[in-house]
Amino acid sequence: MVLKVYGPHFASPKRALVTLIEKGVPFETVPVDLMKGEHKQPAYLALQPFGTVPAVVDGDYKIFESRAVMRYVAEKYRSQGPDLLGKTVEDRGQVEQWLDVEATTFHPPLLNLTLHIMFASVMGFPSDEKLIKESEEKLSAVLDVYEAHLSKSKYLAGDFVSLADLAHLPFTDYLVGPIGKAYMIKDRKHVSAWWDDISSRPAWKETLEKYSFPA
Amino acid sequence: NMVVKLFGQIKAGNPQRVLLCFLEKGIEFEVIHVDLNTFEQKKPEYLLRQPFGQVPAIEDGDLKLFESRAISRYYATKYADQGTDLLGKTLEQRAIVEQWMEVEANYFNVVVLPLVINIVFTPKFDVALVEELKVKLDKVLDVYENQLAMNRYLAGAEFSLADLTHMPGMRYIMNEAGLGSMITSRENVNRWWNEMSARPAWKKLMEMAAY
Repeated sequence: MVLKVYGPHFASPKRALVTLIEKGVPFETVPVDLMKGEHKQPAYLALQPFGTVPAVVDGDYKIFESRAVMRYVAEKYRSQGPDLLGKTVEDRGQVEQWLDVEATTFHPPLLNLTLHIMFASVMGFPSDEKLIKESEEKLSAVLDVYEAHLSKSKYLAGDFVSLADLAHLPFTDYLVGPIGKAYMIKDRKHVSAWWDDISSRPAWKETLEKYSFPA
Repeated sequence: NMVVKLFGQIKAGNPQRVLLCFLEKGIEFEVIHVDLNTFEQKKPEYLLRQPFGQVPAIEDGDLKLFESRAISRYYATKYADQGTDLLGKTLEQRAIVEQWMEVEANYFNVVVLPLVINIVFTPKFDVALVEELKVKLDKVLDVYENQLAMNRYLAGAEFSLADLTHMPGMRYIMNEAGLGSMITSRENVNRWWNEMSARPAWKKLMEMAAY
């Protein structure tokens, strides 16, 4: 039984997809129609009780939360593909640190920008200009920290690409694309170089090619 | 001095996650007080340690780390064979612990943190926002109530890091935030909190914090 990822067309599931592709793990995807409220139906809630994507089913085993799935895949398939957790316990500590920074500090303001710029009209709520401005300022301050850090470190956790870098791909792709704020990345020399590097990885290109939202 | 140094304040929520982890694992530590009241965490010397200006940070010989959950994962991994087993025994068990740790960060803390900041620390807080957040917290706790009806702890039969990371926020809910009824009205969430807060490591932390 092949591992299944639910909701591949959306951003969060792409954290799991890019990790699976990097590690050369076979998988299938199952579309989830958010517009039709499929994520609130009992069949889906049995897989993910909060009604969000992704959910993953691996034989008899179920797991949700994209970053938990990343860790699971990276650990289970440690011996194949790039080592996305680093070589030592200390390396892994740095990976965990920056993976948590992505979740607690980078993602929240970027999520606000995503919802209010890309999805407000589609989801039927008024776009909050004040929140957009505050979120951009917060994200800008975070990116200043990243710029200083990446001037001393090739990737977030050290000289190796890791889960921490990959976790940034899906929503930063929105930031430089449909959100229309590519300057936040491009105006920062080291952040820009890091972004060019990780976003040109074949696994990410394949993720976008196969699972971008149908036009 | 080979003991790990924890930079932060014993009464602050994020450092408490790490302190609890140390206490559960029997890891010796030293607390270096960072005065949040005078914004010491935003000063240049501290920013060298934690560039986002937050507590906690640790220093253990040459190793420096920040983000309380990452620090906890590191020590729970490094000292897997010592003290309480916080990560489960198999890859599959650990992944479920990771899943509920993510839930704590992405669903629980995202509402509890602004609730606490408003109710406890903001003199004239936004009443509408607090009501909105309480509705969201209710929905999250309904999922927990269901999960804990089938499992003694979030990730299964044993206490893990996934339960531990909730404890500082739960303490605020039960105490200063005055939202204890959201817990006591839910049979399984109430049982879960009562069991966790009876643990010796938690009692030791409460002693240290001297509320």
